[in-house]
Amino acid sequence: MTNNEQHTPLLSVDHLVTEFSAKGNKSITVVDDVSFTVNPGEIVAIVGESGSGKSITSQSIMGLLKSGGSITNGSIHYQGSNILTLSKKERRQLRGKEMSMIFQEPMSSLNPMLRIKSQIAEALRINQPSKSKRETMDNAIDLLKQVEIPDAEAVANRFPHQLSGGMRQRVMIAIALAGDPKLLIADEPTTALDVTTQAQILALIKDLNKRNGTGVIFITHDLSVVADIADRVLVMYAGKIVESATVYDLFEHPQHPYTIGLMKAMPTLDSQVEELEPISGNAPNLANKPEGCAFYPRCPFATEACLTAVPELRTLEKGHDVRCIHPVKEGVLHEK
Amino acid sequence: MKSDPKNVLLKVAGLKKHFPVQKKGNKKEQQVVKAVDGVSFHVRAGETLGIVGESGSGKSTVAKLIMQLLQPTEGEVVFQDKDIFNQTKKQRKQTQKRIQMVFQDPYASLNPRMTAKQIVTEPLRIHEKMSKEDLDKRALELLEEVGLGKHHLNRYPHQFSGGQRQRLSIARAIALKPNLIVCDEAVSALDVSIQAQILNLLKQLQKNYGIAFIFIAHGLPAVKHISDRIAIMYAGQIVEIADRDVLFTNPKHPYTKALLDAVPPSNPRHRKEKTLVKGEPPSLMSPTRGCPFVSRCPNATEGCHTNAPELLEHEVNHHYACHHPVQAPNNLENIGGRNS
Repeated sequence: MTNNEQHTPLLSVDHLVTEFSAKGNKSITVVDDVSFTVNPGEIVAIVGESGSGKSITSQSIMGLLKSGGSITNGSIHYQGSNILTLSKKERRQLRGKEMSMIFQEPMSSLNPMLRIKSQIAEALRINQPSKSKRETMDNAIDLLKQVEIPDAEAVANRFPHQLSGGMRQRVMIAIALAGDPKLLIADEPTTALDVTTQAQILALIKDLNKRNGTGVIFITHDLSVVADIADRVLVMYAGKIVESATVYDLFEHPQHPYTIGLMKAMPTLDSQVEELEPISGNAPNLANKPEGCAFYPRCPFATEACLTAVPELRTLEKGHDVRCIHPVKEGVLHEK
Repeated sequence: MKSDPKNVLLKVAGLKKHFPVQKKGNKKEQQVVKAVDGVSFHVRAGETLGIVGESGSGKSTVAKLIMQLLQPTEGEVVFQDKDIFNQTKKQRKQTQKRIQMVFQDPYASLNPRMTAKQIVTEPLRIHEKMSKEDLDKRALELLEEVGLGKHHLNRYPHQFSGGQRQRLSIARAIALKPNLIVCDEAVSALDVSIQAQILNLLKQLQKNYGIAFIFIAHGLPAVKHISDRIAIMYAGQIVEIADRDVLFTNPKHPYTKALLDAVPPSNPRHRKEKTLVKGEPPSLMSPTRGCPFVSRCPNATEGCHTNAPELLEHEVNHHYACHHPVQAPNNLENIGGRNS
């Protein structure tokens, strides 16, 4: 980690609440009191299942919420200043130069009508409008080389449909890097890719993070990807962070029953079990969350108290927070 | 039910599917995409054969051929000793009853205008003459079989969660008590906690009814969990096929090894500097004389460019197609079989 000059984190999200409302309906809280920091050179993974709020958290940071969504509470500080008070124009200037994002499906994020080089050049021009066309094109090809695209000159002249999924994702990363951002948000960037391609893209992101000291927020549903890439992990469930710890701590001493459940449900190559232990039931409907702990209906360790008490996120030891009234560490867990 | 080694349910031999494509600007010259190019394997009654491959490896085309949704270019599929592409219409209908399929996206494979009851009883209405009372009774039985209940009978697909929809697809697939179910990426789109529920359900059904599965997926951990034997496909061909534990502890084909190495660790302590396989699968249009993996293979030699290796049984029940197989057994500390 390269956080020696200052102690201000690169990004600091405090008590973020993001709600969505549709006409005539009660608004739904999708991100509920989420706080975390990202330091320069750090990879923070946000892990959760569909509807956990992990993608909306990242869209809130980028200022890319779809219509109906709004941040109703909390703050997001980038290098010490609150970006939620910025104008739309100022916000746009942050995107690309300071923070950029890559998505799950690169095909739908690329323009099918434009050659790869024009799409990268577009991102470059926004950040360095004074450069000549020649220089911009050279830079574009440099970026393609940086993301390890073989035969970059030829690929620059192709259209997105002529590239494989892995290549498209590399192009997306090249575009994201065009403004030399300090923060990269990757939203399930390898979910749609094949296993060997996934390994290549993960290695690339790790390499960029190490080489340039880029802070990374890596959003995924896959715990083994987390185990491979993250420094710190936030586990989200029903809009809330339920556990946050360093990656080693989380895998060695998981505290929240949901985290433990996820680990037991995940088939792995080195597990010896015949029967997986799924988490029973389904994730709650966000419009109709249970009172008390949101995980209560699915929790094998739940007690009477969990039915009514809304657990707070509390620190068990330095760097390890959990939102549960019966964390494993306190040793009162008994399976029902 | 334990699988009987002699009891071969399905036998695929020399199966090929080539799709013609028109070359741009040259209407006369026709090229072909060799989606499946000479695949042979068998499935025994009551066992699960996993088929693993990356996109474009031909695994879904194999599934469609077995389901008779496509006609093969060459080769045969023998089910219960009958060639399924060479039978009368009546025989064909019988075969269709015995082989069912579960797809990746349950939302796209369930009719949004049919209720759960209509969905699970549709195969019965087509293939069996049953009274309305019997159909109602069977519908409930089927739903209960997959962990759904009476209150779900009259709901529509959009009222179910992803996992429940996949349960519904499974209920429909078992309605006719088939001998074989082809699962094409059946759990790939589901959340981890739900994926485990569906995997356990499939295992349970197999135990209760002795159904054989062909489990097609790109995610190795899930395939390992459910399969008895595993076939690895690459560029339209099977490059290795072996018993599950053998494949994971002693992979012989360099591509199999590369796939295993690419799977992220289950614990950060097992992070390792990996030697990643470079590049991407070859175009299925360009004719290759040699091994399809040659351009990415660390063991490749001159001979591999010109001489395609055949899939041969080098050890008992362990077939692979390679001139220079992997020597050292895979890292046994991290990847142990269930008996180790």
